[in-house]
Amino acid sequence: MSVRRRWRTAIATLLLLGSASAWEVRVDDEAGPADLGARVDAAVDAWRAAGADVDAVERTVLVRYGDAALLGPDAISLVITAGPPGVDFELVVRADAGEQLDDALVIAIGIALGGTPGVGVLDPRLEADEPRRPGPDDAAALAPGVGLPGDVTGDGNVGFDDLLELASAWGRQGINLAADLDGDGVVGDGDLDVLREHYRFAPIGSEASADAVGDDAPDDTTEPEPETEPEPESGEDAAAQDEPQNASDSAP
Amino acid sequence: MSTIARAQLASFAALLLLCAAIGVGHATAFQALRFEERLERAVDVFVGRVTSVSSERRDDDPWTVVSIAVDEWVLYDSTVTETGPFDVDLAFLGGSATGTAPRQVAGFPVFAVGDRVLVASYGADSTAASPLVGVTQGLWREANGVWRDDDDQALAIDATGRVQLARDGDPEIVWLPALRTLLRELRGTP
Repeated sequence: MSVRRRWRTAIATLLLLGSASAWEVRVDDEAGPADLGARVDAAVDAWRAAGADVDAVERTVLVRYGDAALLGPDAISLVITAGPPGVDFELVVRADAGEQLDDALVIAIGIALGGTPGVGVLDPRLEADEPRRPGPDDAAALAPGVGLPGDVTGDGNVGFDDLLELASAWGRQGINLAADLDGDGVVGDGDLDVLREHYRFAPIGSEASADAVGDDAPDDTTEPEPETEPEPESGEDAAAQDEPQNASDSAP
Repeated sequence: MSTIARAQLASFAALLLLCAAIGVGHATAFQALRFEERLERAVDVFVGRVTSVSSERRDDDPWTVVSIAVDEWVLYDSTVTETGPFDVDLAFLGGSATGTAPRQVAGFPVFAVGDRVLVASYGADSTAASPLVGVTQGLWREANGVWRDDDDQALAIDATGRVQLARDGDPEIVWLPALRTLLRELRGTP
């Protein structure tokens, strides 16, 4: 593909995605106290105050009250991915959570902003006497790539290490398996499709490629030629590698 | 291709990844429960092995049913016992079922077929998105003879013979009777 065609593809994809890509929080407080919107705003503001560049994150979050029977006795919030159309995160919260709701919102908003689950202020276990307030370290740790589809290892990149993890888990059955990218309970072809769709070839010499190829990574930082990149093992992967510089080209 | 063109394409690729990013996070939040609180709240406690997982549609949502073959009952229907059903099904919100959009509940427990687990649950009739006590806290997994929860705390016996959570664990043959003893104590039953 020529450079000009690559640019056209990239721009067209940007235009298509642009209509839905901006930081947006929708609040539905119909089933509980009307202050939910203000509490969500407070959680977002807490991240802003800590130094998070909220407006640079392009995700849509829906916050709504949930049925107590669904939440069970212990859950304060459930974060559901692949919610209604156009929503990246659906955050279902208890109407009777009291002050812990503010803590749960800080955690959920932090994750939506690209925080790493369980790290720092994002520990899901809430204690009554430990209010959650993100600090500069928490804000600095945000990485918009965390949570990418296909990111089996959770490192914010979709690459060869994810392919290795998926291969090692091939055929496993279960629920919430990291490599079960399509959520069908089995690590198999459907998960490989998801990974292929979001695979990003890192330039040789970059940190990601060094992680992938280990000691064989080149030491210099000179610009590599595309044909020197690792050859994929299957024909399908070869098709994905056809456009090594543009992650969107293999998308449907 | 020139270096400038490569840099421009790389910038676009990074931007496109941002635009295409959707969340698969782990932000479910829940009350932290002490070990004894988990046992006090449980309706069922058992040791078993995951035999299968399957998806089904409930209303408009996909649920995943985890089937476990029970090896040892500790608590069944709120009664300390060594007998109960041979198999238990636990249903979790999320998964992929015919006629529903795939959904994942972030931070929910992981089960793989073949896993050996100790479960403290609200019972098979629970309608909660996670039937485990404390969402994920009522689950211990066996690895190399040691049983650990998601917080990497192991089941162990202290100097008084009482089961507790500790950094280093004891084998099942040691803590299982102690767990029954503790449950009887917590529930005031002989």
